[in-house]
Amino acid sequence: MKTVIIKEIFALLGLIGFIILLVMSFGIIPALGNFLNPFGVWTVPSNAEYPTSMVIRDSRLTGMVHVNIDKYGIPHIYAQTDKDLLFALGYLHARNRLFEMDMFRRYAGGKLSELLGSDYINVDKYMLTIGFNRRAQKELNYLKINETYYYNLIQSYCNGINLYISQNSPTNLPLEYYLISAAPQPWRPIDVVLAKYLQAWGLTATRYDLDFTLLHEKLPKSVFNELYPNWTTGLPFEEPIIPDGSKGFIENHNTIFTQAILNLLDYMEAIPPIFKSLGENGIGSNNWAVNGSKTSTGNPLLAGDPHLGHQIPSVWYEVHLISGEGYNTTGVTFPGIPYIIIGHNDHIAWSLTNVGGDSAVDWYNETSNGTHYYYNGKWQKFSEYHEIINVKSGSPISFTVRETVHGPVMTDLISHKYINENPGVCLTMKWSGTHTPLDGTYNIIKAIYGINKAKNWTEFNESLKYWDSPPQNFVYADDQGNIAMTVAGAHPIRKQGVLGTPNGTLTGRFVQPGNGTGEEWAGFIPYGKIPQSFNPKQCYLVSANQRSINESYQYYLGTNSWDPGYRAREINRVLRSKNDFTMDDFKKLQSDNYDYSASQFVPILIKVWNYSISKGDTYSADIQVAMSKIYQWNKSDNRFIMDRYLIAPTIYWKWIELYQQNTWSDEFTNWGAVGLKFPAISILENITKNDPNSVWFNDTSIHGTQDRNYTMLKTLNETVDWLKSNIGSNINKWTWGNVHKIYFEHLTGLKTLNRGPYSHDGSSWTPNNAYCQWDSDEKAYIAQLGPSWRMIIDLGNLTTQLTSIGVYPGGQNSNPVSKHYDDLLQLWLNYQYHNIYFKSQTGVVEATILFTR
Amino acid sequence: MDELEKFFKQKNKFLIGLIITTVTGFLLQLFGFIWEYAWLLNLVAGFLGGFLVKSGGKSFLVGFLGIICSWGIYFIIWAFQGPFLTFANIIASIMGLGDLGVIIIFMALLIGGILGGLGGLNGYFVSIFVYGQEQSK
Repeated sequence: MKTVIIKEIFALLGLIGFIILLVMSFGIIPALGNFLNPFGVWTVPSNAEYPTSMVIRDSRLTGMVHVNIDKYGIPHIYAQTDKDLLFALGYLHARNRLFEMDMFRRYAGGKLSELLGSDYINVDKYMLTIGFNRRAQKELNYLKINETYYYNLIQSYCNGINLYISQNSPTNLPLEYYLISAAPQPWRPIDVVLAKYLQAWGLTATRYDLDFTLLHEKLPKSVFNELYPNWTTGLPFEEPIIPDGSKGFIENHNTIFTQAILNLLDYMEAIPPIFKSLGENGIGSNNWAVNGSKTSTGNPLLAGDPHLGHQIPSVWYEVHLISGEGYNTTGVTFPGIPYIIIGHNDHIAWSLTNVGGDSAVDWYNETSNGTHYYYNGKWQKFSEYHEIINVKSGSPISFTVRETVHGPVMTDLISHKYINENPGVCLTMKWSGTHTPLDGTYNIIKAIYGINKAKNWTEFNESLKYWDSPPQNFVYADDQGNIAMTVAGAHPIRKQGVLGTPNGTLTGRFVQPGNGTGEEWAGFIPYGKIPQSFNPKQCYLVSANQRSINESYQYYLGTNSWDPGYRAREINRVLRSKNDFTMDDFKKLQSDNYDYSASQFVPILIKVWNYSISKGDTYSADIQVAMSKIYQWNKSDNRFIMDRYLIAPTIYWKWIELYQQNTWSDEFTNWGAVGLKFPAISILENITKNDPNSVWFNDTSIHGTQDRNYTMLKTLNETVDWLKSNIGSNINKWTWGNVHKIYFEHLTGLKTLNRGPYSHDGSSWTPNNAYCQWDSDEKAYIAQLGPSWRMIIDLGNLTTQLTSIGVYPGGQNSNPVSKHYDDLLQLWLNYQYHNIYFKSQTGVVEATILFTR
Repeated sequence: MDELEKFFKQKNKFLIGLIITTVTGFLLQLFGFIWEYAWLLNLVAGFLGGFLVKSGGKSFLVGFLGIICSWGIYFIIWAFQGPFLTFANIIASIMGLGDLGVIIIFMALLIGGILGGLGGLNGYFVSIFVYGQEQSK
């Protein structure tokens, strides 16, 4: 018996040991018991597709909701009430994008570490310092008391999400939860508000003020304004968004803590980009509209393609919402947010581009003694907030966020050692998203519901005044023949005006003194005064992130923080060129790979080359072959097209990159400004065209005087050398598609779930935006962003015919074995669209869902 | 004759144990709809099977095979509901095994089997305590 007991003890210990092994996760290996059992990860494929029909019951519904899923997995939701409509939308968002939504709310709320572990503590600290969570709670309280209707809509949307979670947890969860051994927590209305803030932050968070402050520190004062023109001077060749600019600095800084700024920038750069769709290099966009006098049908046409960073699953989810309370709207939503951001209804269509500029963030250098800060002649106590970060497999971390009247102390994020050595360092950030008044002046939820349901310009315009952050260029067209563009949003009014103080020292462009003597905000520009154009004489409107309005506008909106304008110039050129546009023309324009910058630089390069040859200069065979490709490009039908099958775009792209470096880097090195933002490329275009002997072409590292021609040809030499060493000596391999790729990284970074890389057309300056950076591991330029949604609408017969098309790079379902994981991506890659089945009966119904009590 | 009867008796016990383990394992696993650790209940299934058989080796085997059968049935059901093998290949790829999804499926079955087997072994030893000694079975 004794032996048996011993054996049993061993058997029991073996069992316990095995169980421990199965419930623990090791690094990236999940807990194998939970993961591999039949009700673990294996239930994921069962949710890949919708069953042909299904019934979902919930007592909180007030009536029945019918959903038709079309052949692209896009739901057409029919409900009696908006509450039921959004209940179903919440359910479907969760069914298709739960993990993505969870990441959005956790990122915004500083709760990533709780799910993903200690690698994300700095991200959480950063987000909790900015304080979306604190502001979101205040906004939610406001909505609950003052805007009950909208609060109830949000609550109903959350109910739909929670129904899905309760029905599908712990089985049938998205794959990602099994990989990290976690489950989703219930959805709360604050999560919706948090997700909203994250989207706004992603489109407005810029470091320009910090960059410009450093540049102003480093560059000689005499040249700063030449290279970084202020509001009134502007960049050369600008074609502002608002064509009829009817409505109408220089800089100082006190002692700025340069080191603190550098450290803060380092900290911000180290924040891992969880969402490729958001971030400073992840934004851009085009939209335009023409009225009936410029179309073949006589109806207005509208097009929009917001450019965001590429990721899979996409940041967009397409949907068609119909209710007995006035909804009949189709377009794209952000999963986790219950409204259509871009789309059309049966009367109007709209699309957005980011305003950029400098109308969202200002930085302040506070005077602090460590416990108090000095403001308006008094020492004030910091507001303090205690935050806790729960860490998966680790101890909770608590810390204190300090705030001044301007906002959170961002330098508290920098290592304590630095702070201890410099007790006065105190940089705060003021972001318009958290500073708009909660008094009904702004209410983005009210704005977007109003826009979703607007029947005409008056209703649209009335709704748009509630839009606060992020500031967006709203292009508009309706079935009554109107077109319009509004630079909507909460733009702070700088107390000192567009030029700053009389000596031009204080503007919103640099870090400001925080003691009350610097540039402060005096409210926000009233809606009636924000830049807007309605039915302009030119009969079309374009925005592509270029300057909003010319210098006659009375308020400061930003300097040097706009797009340099090549996309806008190309779109303007095309829209000016004819008066019988069709949807096919707009498709071509959305996939237009004409690089306007090439059209400005290449002819000069050829001229300079010809002159050099005529002088008897000799060049290697490789350079001659490279130049012959540029020649052919300049004369061919594909002139300046960044086409994946051509070699010339590769040569041009490397050349223009090196040409900028060769022009500016010697001076920047002399000024100790290495790594800081070069002047806009249009500044270089200007001196290349108009000042070939500019001092900026002089290479200060060598003797003598060098001019534009020297710099251009030297750059050509270096370009060929670089391409040979990085791509290879065989010039036939230098095709743009071989060097320029696009890929769609999954949120988890797992290669198996990525899509691509694919050879890719376009460049940073083509309307088909493919902003790219060289990746030395991939030996390719990787397109970081591009059209995240393409949409074209003929405003003629919205209710009777299929007159709208759209596509985004991705698919409706984040389940990797779903046919809707990447079906839309395949269309997008080939510049194809799908019909937007606004009259859903014309589409193929793949599945039906009935929501009922 | 006695030897033959004994053989069939033992064989029956093994078969009965196997069926009990498989069926119990299948049913208990249904708690997986509401509890993520329901797979631990496969121990109980293995335990019941192991309780019936005579030797330690057989008790492990009865639990091992029983849970493999019960999990295998689930896997077959799932395979009818979605692209099971394609998905297994994805999991294999994530785990650095290329597209050898079959290995992941075997790994899952092996884990279930070992769990059931250890449950069976413990069931066997407990049966000895209950019956006094091995021969009593």
